Amino acid sequence: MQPQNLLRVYVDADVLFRAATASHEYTAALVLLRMAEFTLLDVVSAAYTVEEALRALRAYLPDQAPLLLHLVGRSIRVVDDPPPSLLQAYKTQAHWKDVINLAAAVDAQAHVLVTYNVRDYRPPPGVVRVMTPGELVAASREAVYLAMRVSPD
Amino acid sequence: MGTLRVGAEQFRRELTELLNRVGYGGDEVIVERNGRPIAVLRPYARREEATAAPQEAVEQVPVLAAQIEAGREEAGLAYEALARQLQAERLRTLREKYPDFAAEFAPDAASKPA
Repeated sequence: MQPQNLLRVYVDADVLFRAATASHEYTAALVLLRMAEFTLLDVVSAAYTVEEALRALRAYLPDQAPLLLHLVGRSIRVVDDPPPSLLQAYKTQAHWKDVINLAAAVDAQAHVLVTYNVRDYRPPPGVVRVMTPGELVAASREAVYLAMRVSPD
Repeated sequence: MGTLRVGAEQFRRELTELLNRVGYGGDEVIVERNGRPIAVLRPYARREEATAAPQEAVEQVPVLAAQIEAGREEAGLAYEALARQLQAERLRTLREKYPDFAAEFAPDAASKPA
């Protein structure tokens, strides 16, 4: 079942990797996953993304692979990989190695694609917003403040 | 075998004794700073336990973070190298799951191991 009235956020493999190797609990990538765990966000990622992060972890920090799996299990809805036709459809809107992320985010109907590599994406307005984890955390904090503050008048 | 909670200053002062308790007595030491746990010291033979219990995974994050930081420094890892590893994994994904796309945009990825 897909949650309603939640910002849907697609996370790239680098975000998963950073979350699983965070040097402290306030690392933005980890904060995003915990926000999802606390039902504040709907965080999704395609199966290939999880596999990439897992393979990279096993290559560099194999002891942390179980932690990534735990985080994925608690915080992320894993969605299907995008169909090849979507990669063709979005091939001009990102660097070729990142087209798959854009296609997967669109396929998952994500509002935001979160990655540390925002420079290689150029989707037109209305497709999906591309932000870093830190930018999304900051935007979320501000949105809560603006929505909940008591007006002086 | 038991679990001790010590402050960072006490940990520094009594490191030798605490290592003996962990290494020979099988104790576990949780190091706290300002009342919050920041690291754990446990016998080497029990090093896998931190990731063994799924229900405790998130609560263990701060503890694991300290271990990861130490491990990262020990391994001399740099995020540039990790980025290269992730890019290699992406090439593998494209080669295995989207061979036509890989052949069109990343011909190297279609023919060479990542």
